Amino acid sequence: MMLACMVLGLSVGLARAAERPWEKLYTGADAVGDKVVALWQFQPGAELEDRKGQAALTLRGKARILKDERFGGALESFCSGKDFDKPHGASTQWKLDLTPTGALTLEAWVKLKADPSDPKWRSGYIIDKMYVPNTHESSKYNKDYFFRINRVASGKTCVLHAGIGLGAEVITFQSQSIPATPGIWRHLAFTYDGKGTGMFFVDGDFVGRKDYPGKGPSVGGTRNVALGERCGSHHSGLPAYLAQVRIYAGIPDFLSGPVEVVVAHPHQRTVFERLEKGHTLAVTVRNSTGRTVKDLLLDVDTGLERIQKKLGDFGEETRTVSVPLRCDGKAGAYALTATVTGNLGDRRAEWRGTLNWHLVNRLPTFMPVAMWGGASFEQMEQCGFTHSLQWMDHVDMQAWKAGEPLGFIPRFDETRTMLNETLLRGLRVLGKMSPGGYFKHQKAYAKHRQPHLCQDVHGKPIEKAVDFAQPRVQQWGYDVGRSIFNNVGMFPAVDLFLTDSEFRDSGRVSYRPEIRAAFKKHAGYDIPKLVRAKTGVRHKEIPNFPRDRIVPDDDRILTFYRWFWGGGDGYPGMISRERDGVKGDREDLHPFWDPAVRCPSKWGSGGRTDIISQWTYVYPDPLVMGMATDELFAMVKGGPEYQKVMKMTQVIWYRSGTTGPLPKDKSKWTEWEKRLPDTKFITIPPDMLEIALWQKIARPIRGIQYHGSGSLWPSKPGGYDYTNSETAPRLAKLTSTIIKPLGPMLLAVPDRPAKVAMLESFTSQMFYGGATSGSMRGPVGRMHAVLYRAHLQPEIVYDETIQRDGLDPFDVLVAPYCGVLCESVARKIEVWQSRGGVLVADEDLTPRLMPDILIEKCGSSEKSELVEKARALRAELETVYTPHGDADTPDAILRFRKYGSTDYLFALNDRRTYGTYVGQYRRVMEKGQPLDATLTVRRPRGVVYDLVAHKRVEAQAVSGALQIAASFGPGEGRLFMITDHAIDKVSVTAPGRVARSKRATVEITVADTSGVALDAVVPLRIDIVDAQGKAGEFSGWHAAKGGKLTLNLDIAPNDAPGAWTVRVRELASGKTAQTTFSVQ
Amino acid sequence: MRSSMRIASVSLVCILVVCGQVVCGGDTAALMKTATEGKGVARRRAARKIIAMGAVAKAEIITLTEADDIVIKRAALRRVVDIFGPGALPALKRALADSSALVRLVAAEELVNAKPRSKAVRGLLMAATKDKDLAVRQVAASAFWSFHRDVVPLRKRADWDHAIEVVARKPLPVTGWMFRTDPGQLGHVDGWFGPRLDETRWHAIEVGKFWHDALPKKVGHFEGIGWYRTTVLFPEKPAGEFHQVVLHFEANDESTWVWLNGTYAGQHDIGPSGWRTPCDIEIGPFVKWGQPNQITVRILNTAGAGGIWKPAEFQVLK
Repeated sequence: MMLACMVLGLSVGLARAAERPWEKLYTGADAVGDKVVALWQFQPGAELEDRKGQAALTLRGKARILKDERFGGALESFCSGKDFDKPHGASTQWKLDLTPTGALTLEAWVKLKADPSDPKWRSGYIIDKMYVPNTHESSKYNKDYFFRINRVASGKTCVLHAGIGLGAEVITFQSQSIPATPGIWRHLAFTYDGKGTGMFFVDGDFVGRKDYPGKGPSVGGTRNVALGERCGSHHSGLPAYLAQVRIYAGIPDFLSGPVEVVVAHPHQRTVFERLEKGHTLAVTVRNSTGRTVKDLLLDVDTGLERIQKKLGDFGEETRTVSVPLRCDGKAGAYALTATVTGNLGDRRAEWRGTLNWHLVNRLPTFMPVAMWGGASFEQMEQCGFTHSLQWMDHVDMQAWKAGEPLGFIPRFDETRTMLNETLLRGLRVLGKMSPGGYFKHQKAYAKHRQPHLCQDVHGKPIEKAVDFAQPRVQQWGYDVGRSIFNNVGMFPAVDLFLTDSEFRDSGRVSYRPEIRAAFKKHAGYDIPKLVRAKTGVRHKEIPNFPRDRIVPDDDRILTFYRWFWGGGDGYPGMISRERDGVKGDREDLHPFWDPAVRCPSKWGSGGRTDIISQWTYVYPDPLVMGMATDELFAMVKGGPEYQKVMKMTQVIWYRSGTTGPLPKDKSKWTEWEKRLPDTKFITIPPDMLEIALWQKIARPIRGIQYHGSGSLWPSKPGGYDYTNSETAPRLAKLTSTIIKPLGPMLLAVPDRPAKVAMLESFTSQMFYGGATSGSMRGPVGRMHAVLYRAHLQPEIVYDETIQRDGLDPFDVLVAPYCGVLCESVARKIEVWQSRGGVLVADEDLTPRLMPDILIEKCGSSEKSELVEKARALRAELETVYTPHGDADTPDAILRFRKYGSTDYLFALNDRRTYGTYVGQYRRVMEKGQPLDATLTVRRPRGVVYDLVAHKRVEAQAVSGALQIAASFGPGEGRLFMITDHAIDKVSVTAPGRVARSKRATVEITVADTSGVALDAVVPLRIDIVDAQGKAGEFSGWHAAKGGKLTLNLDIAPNDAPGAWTVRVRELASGKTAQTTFSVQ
Repeated sequence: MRSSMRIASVSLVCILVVCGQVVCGGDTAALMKTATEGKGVARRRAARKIIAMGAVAKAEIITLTEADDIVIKRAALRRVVDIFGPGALPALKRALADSSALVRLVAAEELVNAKPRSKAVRGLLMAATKDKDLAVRQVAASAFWSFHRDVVPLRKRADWDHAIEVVARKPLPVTGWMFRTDPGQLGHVDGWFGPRLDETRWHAIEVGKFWHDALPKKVGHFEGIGWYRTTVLFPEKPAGEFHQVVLHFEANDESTWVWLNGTYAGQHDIGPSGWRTPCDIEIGPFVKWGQPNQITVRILNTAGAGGIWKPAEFQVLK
């Protein structure tokens, strides 16, 4: 891949080949004319003489004058080094007038030595009169000029580097890379026009330019001129021979520049998706020849079309021409050439600029599988990741200082290059910003955050506790986001963007006057005195707390916490502003926030981000993954309508949470313990990774994430350590066999409405405790795992869900650890119960309510205890509720989704035991075991397809239900599609003929035995083969919703004519179909 | 709604509230029959309807306090307290003897809430402090206990998803402790946690071993409450960021309450199983950095040896 050729502005220098006066010894006016400031030719008898007679040289150190065949004489200079740290060049006296007041040219013949005394020399001066080669705080150093060679480490190439002292500052210039071939005389020149433009020439050829618009001439100082070394320093001597060194006031005609042609996309895009609209390229033509070029004609060949524009006579000017870029071609590499031709003097001349660019196919709808961390392209492709995380927020401080969004800045150039390559590979990027986190923690913000800190109840600022409700801080969140958007937002490769992550953890109740005023405006009174911590006030600490533990809905403490967690703490507002900024006008760019449910059960935690997510460690009980995901769905019910859910699995495991002290007997250590005895983070074992995945996809999530790349692949020890070599291959297998083929279908199948709800009460959490924060460490999370082991598929509801939507959709409400409720929720439960609703609770339930079933709260996460309670609960429910699906073992975890009349049954194998990876510590049963289970679906009939095996499976009708015998390998899952009717056939139609540049509409139908499109979302594999046998756009995995799919194939104007083939295979039973059409 | 429910047929009782009076219609007797003879959810539904009737069905509700269904018994017991107030004491006393800890728990809760707290109520609560169930004991003890501080240790925080690093530590000394038993369980009333207490009647003791082993048999062989006191020079406040300051006990046998410089800091009270469980008591707000700090530790031991039997440390956590 060659992306570095994005802009090529090299001229084809045909204009001036005739005059090459520097090739001979200067004579006459070239040697002693008015414009010559100094000229040293090192001729015999006048070895150190300045031809102008004012700047004779003194040799220093080993420097000497040698006879030279070509120039008569040359100065030999040396580099300095450890054993020869002395000056080794030549020098004039101080206080000579050797700095022209306007334009100037520094030139010399230079022959690098083949065997320098320091083979690793990096920098050597040709001419120096400056000493400090960059802007110094003292203006006396910012004078005169320097011209030097910087050699790259390999020694094969170098760049020319020059500086001009303007008094207040030094402006520097750098050439393109040029060969650093020793033993060859090269004429090196630097010109400065006295107005901010510097150019470099090698043997008369233009090799680089830089402009500082508005700058003036060099300011003369008193220092000496040094040749072959740096003035005032022993370092940076040049290991070379110098001949005919000249300082010239002005720019000689033979060093005038070319006509440059630079082609660039305004946002540095070089890769485009097919049929993107509205792109134009900027072709910049700059005449630096010093002469007028007549009848200039621009001819652009984009690779798809040719565009000509007459530019007329062209003086010493720069003009930019916009050229539209068509993106309707076929996928592939294109070379754009912009050629300008014109009359220079009496000859027709030509200059050219090029841009290599690519068109890539649009991707079919896919399930994102994002590595929330760094990964190489190869690693991504190996494991099936669609996204990797890229940090993009290195503009936060600039934006803070600017007080507004930043525009397009070079700092993102490398990022943009990476985004082009990402798009070319058919991959995507998950961007990351974290201004809030930086603001809280980084030293650079110490002074800036001081005025924005939370204050304690006495008004004293709390160190590092930023009050994110501050408008200035939230505006900055927007500014950072928009700055990023202004730089990368136009790259479709970025389609997910993580706002600040995790930074809400250390939030505090703030008593800043404006915060108190804001709450008072909201509530009508000040922050209640009993409020101290953000986690609530325990009811035991509240005098005269109601005996039935029911608080009024307008309870002041509850009102405060609702306000605080609903956004009063500023965090949801901050991430919302970051989202607004970074999203820009991109419908397809989705900012998200995680961990969104590491907080009490109150709507609003995700702010207005497009997506919320949560990271989860799946130990000790992997069912925590399902609970955290269900909590996210509970949270989005109160978010904006567009808000969706993604879910992340931690690839890393805390060693401290999964193992114990190392055995004294080292022979009992595992392989990874011997290799990494001090590691803190280990790799998730493969069976647990798979169990986690099945729980995620059993829910209608919009994307899958993993964090901890260091533990997935071999990595440098000491961070996230790589301790299990089976995990990455398992993940690769799962993405290739499950996620990619079924992803489009998974995105299209809705959830099955729940009949069982589990209340996570915010009121109770504030007065009684018990917030899960997405973990299973308390009785609430454990109850969720009980419900799944009882095959009940609960939906998590919040107080707000009940208050807004009521409980009518549910038959059963489980209320774990609901020790305190608010009046409205309690009342709704009572009414619902009076209508036949079944209330399940533990012993902590508020005394106001009487449960229909009491299940004692789980004291631990021991699976055996949870299974026992699951059995007890099912026995109690026996007469009042029967779930839609069931299994003959609590080790089979079931979950349904539903489309029309079709059930999608996700079943996973949770039968585990203690293995030898971490299980020997008896804290986590990490090793999966095989499982045979009978699954029951309570529907009278149906045809069952195994979507993993892509085949129909037998089901027995027993007592009005279907029974499926399923065998699972360790950690394995299954996805069964259960339809009313069997799939009969697949058909695909296309027009017989289609012209290039036109659209071919392909219709695909999966029909049942009655000939009607199947009432299901059916996964499909579609292969489109063009006339040359190559894969066509939209080849890949798809889903036929309602049994139908329409594909619009936009034939490119440069597609090869001939027969195209569309092959379709449905992934339920494996039926296939095929059609062909002719492209003309 | 509830398409998949199979609700047992129950005679509905229509409860109409007119001018503050509850008027019952329908077949209360039938409900009572279901509430006492029925099974599972149907039985509890019937009982709930009776209990909701309140005083008009007080006889039935009292009967239900004797039901063999724990859910019904608990709900009926609470309603009896609603209806009879102080007159519910006999029912609560009976409930405290119930075989189900969940029933005893309700009784203890209602006794704690009872006003006025008569001598009889105090007596029942005192008896409940010796219940075999931890939850019951804790609820009952709360009636005599005015110390409470809810700070979740960093190591126990469900929302803390970071590695925890000890950025500063100082082991608490093994010697230099004073000890006193508290057979009357009134040490806290007498202020044994005060920073300037007269310790002349206290015994010197080493920690890191059971009081059974650290004291003469006459003093150390007991089950109950013992108090430890010492004063430790804490280090200067660390310069960098940290999140919690704790006293970390590798294990105290069984339950622990801690005061620092006379201020109550917190407790670790999970019952007998706490005897070998590490615990952190958060002390950040009360620490005097770089100065001597007075530490008081109250230990409850209900079986065998007790005390601070493993090392303890002052820790600053990040």
